[in-house]
Amino acid sequence: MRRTARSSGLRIPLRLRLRRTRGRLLRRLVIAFLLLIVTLCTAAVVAYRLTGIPDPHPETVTQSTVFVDDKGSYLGRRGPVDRQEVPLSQVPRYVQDAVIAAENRTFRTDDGVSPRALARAVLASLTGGERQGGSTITQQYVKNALLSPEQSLSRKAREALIAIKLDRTRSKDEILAGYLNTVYFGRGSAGIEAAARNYFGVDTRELTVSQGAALAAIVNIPSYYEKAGSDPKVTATLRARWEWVLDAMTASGSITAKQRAEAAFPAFRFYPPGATEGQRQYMIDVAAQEAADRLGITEDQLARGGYTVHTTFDLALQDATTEAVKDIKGSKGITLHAAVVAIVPGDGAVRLLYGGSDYARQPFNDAVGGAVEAGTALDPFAKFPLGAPLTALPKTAAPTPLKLASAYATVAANGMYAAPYTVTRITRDGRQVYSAHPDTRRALDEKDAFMVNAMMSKMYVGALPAVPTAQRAPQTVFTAGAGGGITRRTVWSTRLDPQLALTTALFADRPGKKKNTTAPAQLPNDPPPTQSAAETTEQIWRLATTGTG
Amino acid sequence: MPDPHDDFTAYAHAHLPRLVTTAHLLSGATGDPREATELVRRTLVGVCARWRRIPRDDVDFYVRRSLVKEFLRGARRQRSLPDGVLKDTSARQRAVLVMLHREGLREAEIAQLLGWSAGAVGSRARRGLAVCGGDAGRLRELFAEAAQAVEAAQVGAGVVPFGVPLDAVEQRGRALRRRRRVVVAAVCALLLVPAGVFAAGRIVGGGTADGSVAGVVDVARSPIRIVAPGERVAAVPGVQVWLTSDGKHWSTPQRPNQFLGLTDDSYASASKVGAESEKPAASVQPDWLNSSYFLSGLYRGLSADPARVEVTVDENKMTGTVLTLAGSPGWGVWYTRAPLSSAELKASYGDGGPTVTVYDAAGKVVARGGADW
Repeated sequence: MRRTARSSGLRIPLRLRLRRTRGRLLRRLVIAFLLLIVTLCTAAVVAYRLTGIPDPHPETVTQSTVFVDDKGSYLGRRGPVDRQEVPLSQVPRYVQDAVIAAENRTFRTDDGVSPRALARAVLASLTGGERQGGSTITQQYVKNALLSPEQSLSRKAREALIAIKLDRTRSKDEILAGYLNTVYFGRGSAGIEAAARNYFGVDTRELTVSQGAALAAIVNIPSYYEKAGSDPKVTATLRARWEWVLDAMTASGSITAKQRAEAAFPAFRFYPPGATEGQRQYMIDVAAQEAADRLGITEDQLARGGYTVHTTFDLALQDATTEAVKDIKGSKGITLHAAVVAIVPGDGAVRLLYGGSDYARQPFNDAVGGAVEAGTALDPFAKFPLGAPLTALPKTAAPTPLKLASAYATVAANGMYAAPYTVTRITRDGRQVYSAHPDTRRALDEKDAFMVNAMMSKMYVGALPAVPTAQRAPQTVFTAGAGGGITRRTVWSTRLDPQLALTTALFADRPGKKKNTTAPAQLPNDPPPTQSAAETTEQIWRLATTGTG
Repeated sequence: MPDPHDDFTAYAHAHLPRLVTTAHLLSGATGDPREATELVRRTLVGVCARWRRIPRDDVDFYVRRSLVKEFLRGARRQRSLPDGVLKDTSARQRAVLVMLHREGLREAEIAQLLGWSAGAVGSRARRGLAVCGGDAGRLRELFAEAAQAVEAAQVGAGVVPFGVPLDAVEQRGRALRRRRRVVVAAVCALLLVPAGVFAAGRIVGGGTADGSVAGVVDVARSPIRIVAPGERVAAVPGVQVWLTSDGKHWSTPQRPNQFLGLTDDSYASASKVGAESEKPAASVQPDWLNSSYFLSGLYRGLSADPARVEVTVDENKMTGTVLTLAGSPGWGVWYTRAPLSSAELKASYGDGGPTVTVYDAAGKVVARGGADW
């Protein structure tokens, strides 16, 4: 009956069959899906266990060594990358918050990766919205510092695994410090310290809220934003992003509404920076050599070590000297050289070391390495016994300006010789690793020193009136040299008082017979070299003692 | 629109005897057939609850599936049958046998009905048959006999078929449906409300973020740059300007290495302050280049970086570029890029020479000054 009717029927239509078996199909799908998830989770756990945190790669460990003058002004740096590490305690809290607001708002709470940010980034790139990265700060740090910069899916996965592992094994502060010290900010600067200097000319701890927000905004596309300040379009784009960062900071409570209202878009340094008269390399050369020597390492190690070398130099005085010496020009075919050395008597700190006008043309420092014929400059010492290390000086025909200046400084310090030094102290990661102590010894009897001083005053035949200075002790002015009259070969002009010993040496050379050699030459006579040397010395002396020209 | 339950009542009424018979066969065709009515009642409550969603062209299939599933669900707890031919069969085997030999379904249909694979259905059918003696024809006869007995019993029971109160079933069915609806609504609410709140938060949050896009950019703002001490800036061709901590330096082809200190007398007199040196002040220094004048100057005593430096030469207003040292020292140097002709400068001396005005971020004048020679 019924059965025959059924069995004679055709196959059940597909639509009906699907409807009837829908539940079963769905169930199977769900199970398959769950299985897949479980497999993936297992794979992820296994991969996580197998992944180790790699060591930072060498470029991100290398730091450059920075040289600063006696007031802390930036002289220059040595090293392959412009990067210096700062502890997080030196980074103002609002700068940290600005970077977090700009790059990864959930940084303090997420687990190293942020699925939400990732989804948002994917969505944005699919819908063609504003370009945004889905990487957390932890991931970026892993990418920048620990992995090679290859771009592939497997590397992305590895990066995420390491990020999670890093997040579980290190504190957020450690990660943030690592990130801030390695991330590229443009203008060649890796890390916040170099960025603060290259964008604003300040140390990290001196950054203001606006400057911190601007740096945080730059991290997004550093190669584009590094033109900030010079390119109006870039500046406008950066400004919009800067406002956005500040708004985010206000929303999260990092800064108050008042701070937000007061924030003014910061001014930037020039990029590339303006020239600085090619003087600094001379100072850095001398200081780097001395610093490496004091630390017992090679100059190469020093350059990669991330030290901050505090020098004794007075940058303003050095610059002023450069400008003053510029006016003394040689005649045709003759190159005129000037070397200026200023030493603090009794201490040995070299305040000024001018040994050439342009490092690019003449990397040799005349003040340190140049042998300049002494002539009558050594005469005051002739009759008095000099102790070590100046014993041999009176017999030296051509001492270096630095050597002679240190002898004059000895006279100014009543016979106490102080070894000239250019490095006051060296710090690294905020800790002091070297500190200079004046190395003094008696090289001249006190009475003899007085006599030498008197002789120098007597021998001075210049027509320059002494500059009346109320606070300072009477100064000794002394000009000597080799050759006389109109055939002067060298001129030494010196001014001394107990606070400073300043020596200027003028000499000339001309191209030698063989290629790349030079031969001493006579000083040009117009204007008279003794006069110009004395004038220059006096001008520099005024700059050094009063701070104005 | 007709009440959708009308056709349920009609359907239930029409199919009840057959359902009871099937239920009776499923439960082993022994004992009182009335026991099967309980199974049917439960099945019908479930069917009634989801009656609307049952495809009308396939009602039999779904009702049958409900019945078998309800039976299998109950059979889990059931002890084995006391006697009869089907005594040794399992509940599943019995379900397959009844569907195959009584209801006349094909194995493929049974597979769909039970959600098993066709192979599982086939093997259970074979084993079940083997347990019952291996004769399909006899089994079919047996089922027919039992069915007849049940039908006879039902007819005897009168108009109200076999004690399944359809009104009560419908009521229970509706109640079950309502309960299911409530549960579904509650689950949906639990899922959607947090999502909605989150989305609303995002929209509101996004709204505020959008609302404060970059403020009005002041077009007349002075370009301001930070320089390091001694860093030479080529202001215009041939002119270098640089700052040291004590003042302004500049070099022109005509006059190299000029200096104006922060505390210079000429400067102080220009700013007309005398003793009170911290008062904001500004000055102008014109320099003769080959064919035009270069204007630059100094400002000082400000509490913050200036927003705008404006030079006025004979009604002609120019915006100066500002250079300052790092750390907002409150003083700095300004210069103009545009050359100024000799005639323009001379004309301006009618009303006191070029003047410079320094504005702060709020647009307020903070310092004013003129040429100091």
